[in-house]
Amino acid sequence: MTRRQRWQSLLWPLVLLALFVGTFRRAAPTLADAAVAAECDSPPPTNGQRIGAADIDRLERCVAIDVGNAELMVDLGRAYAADNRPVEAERLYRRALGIDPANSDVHVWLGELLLSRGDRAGARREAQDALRWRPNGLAARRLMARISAPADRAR
Amino acid sequence: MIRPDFFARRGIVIFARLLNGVLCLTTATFGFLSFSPFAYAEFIKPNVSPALTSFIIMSPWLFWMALLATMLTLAPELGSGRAQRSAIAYLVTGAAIGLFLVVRTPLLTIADSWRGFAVGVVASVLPLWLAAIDHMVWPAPVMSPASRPRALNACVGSALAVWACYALGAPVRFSQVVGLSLSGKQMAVALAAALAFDLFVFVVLYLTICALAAAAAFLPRRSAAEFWAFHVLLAAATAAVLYFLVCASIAFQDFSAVIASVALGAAIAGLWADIARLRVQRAASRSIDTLDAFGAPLTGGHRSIAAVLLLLLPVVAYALTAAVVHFDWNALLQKLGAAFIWLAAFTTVYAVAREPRSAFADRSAAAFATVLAFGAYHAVVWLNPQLEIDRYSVVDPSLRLIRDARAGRSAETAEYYAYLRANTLLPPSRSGPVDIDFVAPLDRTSGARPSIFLFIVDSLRADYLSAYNPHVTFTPQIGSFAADSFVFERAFTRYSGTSFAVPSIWAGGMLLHTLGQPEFHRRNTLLKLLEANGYLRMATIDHIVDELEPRGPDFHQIEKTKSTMQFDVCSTVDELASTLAALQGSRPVFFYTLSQNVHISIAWSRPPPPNRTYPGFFPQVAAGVERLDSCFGGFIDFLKRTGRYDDSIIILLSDHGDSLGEEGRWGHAYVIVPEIIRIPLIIHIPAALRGQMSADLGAVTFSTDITPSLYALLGYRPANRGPLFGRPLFVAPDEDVSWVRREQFLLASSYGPVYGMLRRNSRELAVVDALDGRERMFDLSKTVAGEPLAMTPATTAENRARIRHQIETLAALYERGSR
Repeated sequence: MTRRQRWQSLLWPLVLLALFVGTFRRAAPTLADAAVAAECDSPPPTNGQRIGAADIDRLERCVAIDVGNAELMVDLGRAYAADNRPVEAERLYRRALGIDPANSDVHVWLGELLLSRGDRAGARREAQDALRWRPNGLAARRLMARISAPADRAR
Repeated sequence: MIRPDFFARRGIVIFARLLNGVLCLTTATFGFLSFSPFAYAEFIKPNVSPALTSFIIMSPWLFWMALLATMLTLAPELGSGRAQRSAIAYLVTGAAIGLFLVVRTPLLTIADSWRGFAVGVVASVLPLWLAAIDHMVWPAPVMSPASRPRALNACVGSALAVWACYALGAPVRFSQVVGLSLSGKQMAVALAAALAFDLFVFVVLYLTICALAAAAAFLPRRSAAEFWAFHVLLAAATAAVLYFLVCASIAFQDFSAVIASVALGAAIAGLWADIARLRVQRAASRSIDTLDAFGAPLTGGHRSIAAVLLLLLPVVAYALTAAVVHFDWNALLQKLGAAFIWLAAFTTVYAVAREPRSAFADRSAAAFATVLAFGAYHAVVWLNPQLEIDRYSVVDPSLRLIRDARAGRSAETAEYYAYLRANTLLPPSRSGPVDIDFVAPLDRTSGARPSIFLFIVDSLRADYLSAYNPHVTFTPQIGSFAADSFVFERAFTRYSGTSFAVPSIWAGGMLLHTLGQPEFHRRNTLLKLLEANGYLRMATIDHIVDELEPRGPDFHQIEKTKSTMQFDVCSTVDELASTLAALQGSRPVFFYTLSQNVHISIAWSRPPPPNRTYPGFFPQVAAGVERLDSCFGGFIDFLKRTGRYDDSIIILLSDHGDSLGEEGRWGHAYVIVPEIIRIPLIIHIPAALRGQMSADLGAVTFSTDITPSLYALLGYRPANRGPLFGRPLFVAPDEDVSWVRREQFLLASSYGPVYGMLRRNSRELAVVDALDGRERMFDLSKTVAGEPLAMTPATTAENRARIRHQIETLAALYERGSR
């Protein structure tokens, strides 16, 4: 074997090795340009701040983007209720409970909504569900008391 | 009468070398593991493997046995010969080490110190030294250069053999996996992808062999150079596997890990070369191909033996996987098994492979195979059948090894993973002297001080209790207890392994990710509560609580003679009941135990009772839960009989869950997946408190909430310390706790840089695994093991940012010098 042939024998596997090893690893996605949805990720107002009608636009946008976010639905339902739009509020509460049926707060709010529209049976069911998930919860007990009170007092 | 030359026989020498090699490699592995603070704390100190402890106790005598065998085989060399001085020096050194082992028993006392590293290095050198002596004593075989055409045939054949080994076992393995299946079409895609990946790897091996052979051709003793080049390749590959797989799994990643990996890799290759030299002696009279000589430790240079081994390879591959799958929590042992199968497949297939008939066939076949391997691999990469590859890799460790090795990392991903690693398993010195208090100053409560019984059952899953799963029929006692208690539907652990999960319960929050918790009394908010209120503390002492719970007059140890893995709730409650019955006075009692009844390493060895079946459940664990149920129920009856039940807080939970075959996963601690982070949490509170408190059973809760809850139940108002800490589960009936559902909670692995973020009232889990280089999201709302959620660059970036923010918050709180 000549010296040239020896070098050829060494170089071709090295070149192919470089090609094989160089293309072995999978390409990693770059995340630098990924938009972070901070607007919808921010926690809702708490500690006395209330969700109001002014939040409706933002929340509708967020619920449309993040279709499985029960917490956003609850917030939007609260905003609708504050804006005196009970039908939309009920729809959002029910959607939220479809995702998270163990949310006693939403059961209470939905129960109050139903009671305000005269649906005592529906309100009672919601109050019972609320107490199941939060035994001894004051809001649910109050709702139950209002449901059990005479109709004129409840109004 | 044994003839003097009996011990110089080749077979006897091979046996002696193997005995010595296995002993030295095991000792070296133990030494290096001891040197790793993590491996020492997690595996060696708690005596996770009793067999390892038995080995350490017996090691001085095993060493002498191996040295005696070595001495007998070297006896002919002691009088004269080329290796005389080396043989005498080896035996004298061996005797000195043997005496040291007997007198000082260093393996029993090395703990996690530099001595473990020294033991590892010395034990690695001995097989190399002995191999060098044998190479002087035994004549070198006449070798010819490796046949490249045969190497090509062998590499293609090996790819097919490895692929077939795991494909043949796949139907059986799939039948043992919970919640994982592939349709016919998906299976075909997975098999094709596995074959393409295996072929790619073995063509890389072929190219490497060609390059080494070509390089050796420049040297005067070409064949010998080739032979040694293949062994250097074996040493390098072994060292790389040890460093990137094993050391990475035990948080052993500094320069000493490189030395340890190289030392072990060299020792294994040295032993392999020694056995190869000895096995080819019979063929010394005729020329032997260097690759045949390399494979001689398995084949002996015989085609018939190689053919038999090749036929047995699927059985070996299946047995290697089946033997370890239940204890192989991050698939490390399965991957090591796959690496061995690669080696075995290549050596055996090479031995049976034939020369092609013409040189043209050689060149065209090489070109065809190279193009085919490259094209097939990149076709799979382009089609990206991720689901099929992920699922099939559960039953094909070879595919899993290649899949994980090809995880690509962009610069920002590499930086992010480096950040996670830099914040994981930190040295204890990084933890600052931080005091954590939920109430300050903490005086004795003016309210009632009920007794507290805290039952933590290691690895107990919520879906193995009837309180959480209506299909469970084997926990009637816990079911009755739950009916009279608060059952938290969405309970989770912050950590996937005991070593952090238990301290986090005592601290009532997340901790800095350090090896050990120095000055833990400053953060031990549970102990502060108990001491401030004059509780008599009773506990079983496991290796975790051993460092958290101070002994003294206020402490009574239950089950003194048992170690961590021996705690059985039945014997524990028997002793506890008799201790309580003998107790004088009205002092409140706090009791803690970490029962091991259902831990997989315990349950696995206890078959279920005859004629008892648990359809839909892993029987050994279900049987353990049934036994737990009976004894726990007996203790509740005891409390009721003695009038303590209505005045006590009784908490039943687990430190973490467990993977029991879901998608092929077993165990816990390394990874963060839904079935590991879900836990049962059932709390009974005194009747007098029930009317005053309320709990949101549908909100996300954590085991770290227990301590703040105890503060609340004793009448305190614990401070809200944010999402990294626990919160009281029992609050005033009118208190707004809806914020909890909107909070994001950090989770962490106990064993490595794997972090998670639990959001949306625990319906969504995001995981970043910097160990395996994988990022995943799960929907937890439907099944125990969750369902995968699609990820985009945006969700990946969001998850990373959330996790980083909370890790930074934790570091700012705890880390020395960070504030």
